[in-house]
Amino acid sequence: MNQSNTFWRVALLALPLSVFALIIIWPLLSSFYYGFTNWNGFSDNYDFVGFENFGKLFSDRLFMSAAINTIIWMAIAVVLPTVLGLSLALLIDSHVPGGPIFKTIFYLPICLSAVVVGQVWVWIYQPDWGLLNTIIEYVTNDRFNYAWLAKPDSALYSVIVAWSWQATGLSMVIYLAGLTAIPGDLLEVCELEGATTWQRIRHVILPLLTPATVVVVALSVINSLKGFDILYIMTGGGPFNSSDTLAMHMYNESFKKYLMGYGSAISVVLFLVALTIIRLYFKQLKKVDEIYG
Amino acid sequence: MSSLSLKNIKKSYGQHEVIHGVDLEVEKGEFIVFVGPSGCGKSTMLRMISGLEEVTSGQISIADKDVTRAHPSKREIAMVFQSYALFPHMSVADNISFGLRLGKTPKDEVKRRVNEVADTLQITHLLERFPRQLSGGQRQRVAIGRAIIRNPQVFLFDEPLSNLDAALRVQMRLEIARLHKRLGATIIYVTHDQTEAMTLADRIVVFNHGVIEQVGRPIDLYERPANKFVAGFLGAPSMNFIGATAQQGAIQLDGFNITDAQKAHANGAITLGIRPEHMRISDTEACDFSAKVELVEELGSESLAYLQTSFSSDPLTMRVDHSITVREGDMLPVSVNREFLHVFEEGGASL
Amino acid sequence: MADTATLGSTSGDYVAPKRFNPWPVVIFICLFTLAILFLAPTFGVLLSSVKTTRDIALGDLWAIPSSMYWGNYVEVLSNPAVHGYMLNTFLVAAPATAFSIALGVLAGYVFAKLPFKGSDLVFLLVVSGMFFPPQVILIPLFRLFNLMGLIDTLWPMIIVHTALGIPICTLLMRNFFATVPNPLREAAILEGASEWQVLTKIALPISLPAIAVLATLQFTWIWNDFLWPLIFTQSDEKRTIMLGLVFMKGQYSVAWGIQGAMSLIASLPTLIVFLFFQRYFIKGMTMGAVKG
Ligand SMILES: Nc1ncnc2c1ncn2[C@@H]1O[C@H](COP(=O)(O)OP(=O)(O)OP(=O)(O)O)[C@@H](O)[C@H]1O
Ligand SMILES: [Mg+2]
Repeated sequence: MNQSNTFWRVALLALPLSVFALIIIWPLLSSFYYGFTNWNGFSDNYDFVGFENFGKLFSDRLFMSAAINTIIWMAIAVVLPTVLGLSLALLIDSHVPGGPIFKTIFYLPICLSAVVVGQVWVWIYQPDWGLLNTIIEYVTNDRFNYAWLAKPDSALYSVIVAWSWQATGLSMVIYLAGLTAIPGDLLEVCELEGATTWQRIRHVILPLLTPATVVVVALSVINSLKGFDILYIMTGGGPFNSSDTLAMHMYNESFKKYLMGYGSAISVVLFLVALTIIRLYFKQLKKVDEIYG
Repeated sequence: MSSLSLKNIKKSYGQHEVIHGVDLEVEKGEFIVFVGPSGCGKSTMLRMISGLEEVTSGQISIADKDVTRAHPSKREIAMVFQSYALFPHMSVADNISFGLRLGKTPKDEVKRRVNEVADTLQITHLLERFPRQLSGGQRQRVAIGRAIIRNPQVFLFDEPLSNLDAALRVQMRLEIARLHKRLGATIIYVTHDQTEAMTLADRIVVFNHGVIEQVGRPIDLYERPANKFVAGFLGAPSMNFIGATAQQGAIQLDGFNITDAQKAHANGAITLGIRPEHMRISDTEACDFSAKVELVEELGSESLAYLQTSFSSDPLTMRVDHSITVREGDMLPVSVNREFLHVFEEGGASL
Repeated sequence: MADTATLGSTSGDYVAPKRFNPWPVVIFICLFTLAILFLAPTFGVLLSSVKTTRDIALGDLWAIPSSMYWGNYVEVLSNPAVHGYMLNTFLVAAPATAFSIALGVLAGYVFAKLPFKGSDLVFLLVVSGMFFPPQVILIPLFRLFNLMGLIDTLWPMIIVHTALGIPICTLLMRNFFATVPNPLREAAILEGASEWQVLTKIALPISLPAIAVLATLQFTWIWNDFLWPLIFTQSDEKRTIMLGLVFMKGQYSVAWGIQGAMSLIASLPTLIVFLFFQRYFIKGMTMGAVKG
């Protein structure tokens, strides 16, 4: 019995684990390797350059601004989809008529591709007839044709708002799942004790939603690190690299300038950042599980 | 002064009426227990009193104030849930003082009152702990503490002990009885447990299908059930029912005659009710009937014998003292205590 | 008449007036406003697709059209390149979805029903794979497929999406198999069934709901993907729809209406999947997120 179990473990795991190892683990490790070379993406000869690529990161002005932009993106990603998703979930959860329809509406963007979302928002920001400027013109009753995506001051933030539009739906459903998991009698205790709506949210619902919040915040941060497609469509990192992120910068260096060694060094940085976040996330999950699980 | 008064309470979910008009007056300090089969509307009734559920029609007064449409928190009631309903993210002290803190009570007063309550329930050493660090019985005490601190006119308990094991249930039952004496509080208590109902209640309210079948002192309900339902519901093991025909008070069964029944006016189809404890093994000459033992259940202090008789298709249950040995297959002479015979008319009402 | 009758019939009952609660109305208005704001971008695309470029350029995009202009759809649907894009995407998405689920079933079954010393750790390692940004493995994979001569074919995309799907598929399948009672498996094995028979004859049939969840998720993600086709394709014949969308933007640079119609057609398969399988979709998203 035991022997046959071992046989089946090996037999069943062999294929999935070897595919995973070959396509995910091995490339991950070799990224570290390429990070120490000056490979250009095509030629078969390349040299080891030691820590040169990693040293270059610190003097690369574009890398630094991409890193800062990535941090800005993360910070906004922690706040915007989280707060919006939570508010929407609380509103929908209050048994308002049409709740399921609202849920579908807010969730719908999640099934659109980043390319389409980017495209759609390019039109919102379009200077001449975009919705945003149209509304501003309507309100102020004056000509207004600010080019949101073409100005270094606003390009990054405009993209993040578009990204958040899509991310909010996911936060909302996670919060909705969290809300249904709150035992009804705890809310009835609030009724009996005379808690106001605000007190109930502040002292009972929000604390009990902590597990959902951990998930939402972690996913937002992790996904913001992945943010590439939508940026590629909307600004391509421009103007003047003002909306570059690490993911974008890595792509540009590797596949536009063919500095694959340097690009690998950036991807190593990305990996380490992601690893830190994921470890924090798993640790928080465990902690939360002990209290609320 | 009436502590709680229900007037013609009805409740419908959509088209479906589940409470069909309930009237009840509860005196201050009374311990009232609601019993009844599952789904008969006990919880619904309790939740309407608390205000968590709206009444469809009727009037609820607490301490002589009409609270039919009052918010739950304004009714001066406190409720203890079967699931305890403690907040997992709050310490025991914070759970108990939840309501006080919402009302912005000064910190030192909150502290004083929490300590007072904790003292009463002997949970002072648990105040800093979180619910997940408590046993079931301790959690239940905390839930009761949260109720006590409100100083309510009426306490509402919905099956508070059903999640506890048997030994703890007995202990908590005694404690609730003690608490009732100490606080002199009015309590409405829902339970499935016969012993809880009989021992705790000043008066028992028997529900069935959304109406009250009977209200009264436990002993009255036991001795003088208003109908067949109450008679069968209270008492464990439950009463034996035997279908029979009566003529001018005389009931004739195959091998079992009751001519001297007090219910002289019984006539036509009736049901005879005999509690298992009102039958005993007697001398062959003086017996009412003889029966064959089909099965014996030994419970330690006593045994239950299931008897086959010629006049009843279902076996009759009889309580037998443990000092008497009864074996399966024995033929026993049985006599019935005439004083405690129950006779129900065809509709179920007691005669 | 009717009024008096009802009053009369309930004259014995006392009914107190109900508390008035204004909140539902306020909340509904809030949600309604937000919903309109949320729908505006999508609605804009819809509007653009039935308007002429001239109308849009004149600033009429956001007005409800007086007459529908179908020319944009005709233009897009009659373009043979679009047919190629759609077919390519389907040829990548369908097998990659199937393969990743199959591998997830195998691994998930072992982690749920045949755990071994250290299996939790291996499981965690596999699952964490779903959180890393794909840029981390971009360059080595590019080199790998380049050496194999597979660049500018559909193979790299099928292979990579299969591998990238393993974490989520393994996670969901393990969680699902964990809910299948152990005695079911043990009884079958006592009757002489092999592990493989237990998996295919017992576990798999009851896990169809989980597979449906995964199928909707995986198909949508792969269909919508942009990064991998961008790296692995070069010629127009091998482009997937999302990539095609971007490249055709150059071709129709100011033909906004055509772009709108293209976006819509490109999103149609995932929209349909979403609207019909929303329940599965949401379940997968929350399960994948919460249990991760
Ligand atoms: N929200 C509801 N919607 C519709 N019907 C309900 C609702 N709540 C309760 N009921 C119905 O009302 C009846 C009474 O339910 P209730 O919970 O009061 O029973 P109970 O006496 O407390 O039963 P138990 O002993 O099992 O707790 C049941 O038939 C139940 O199905
Ligand atoms: Mg109940």
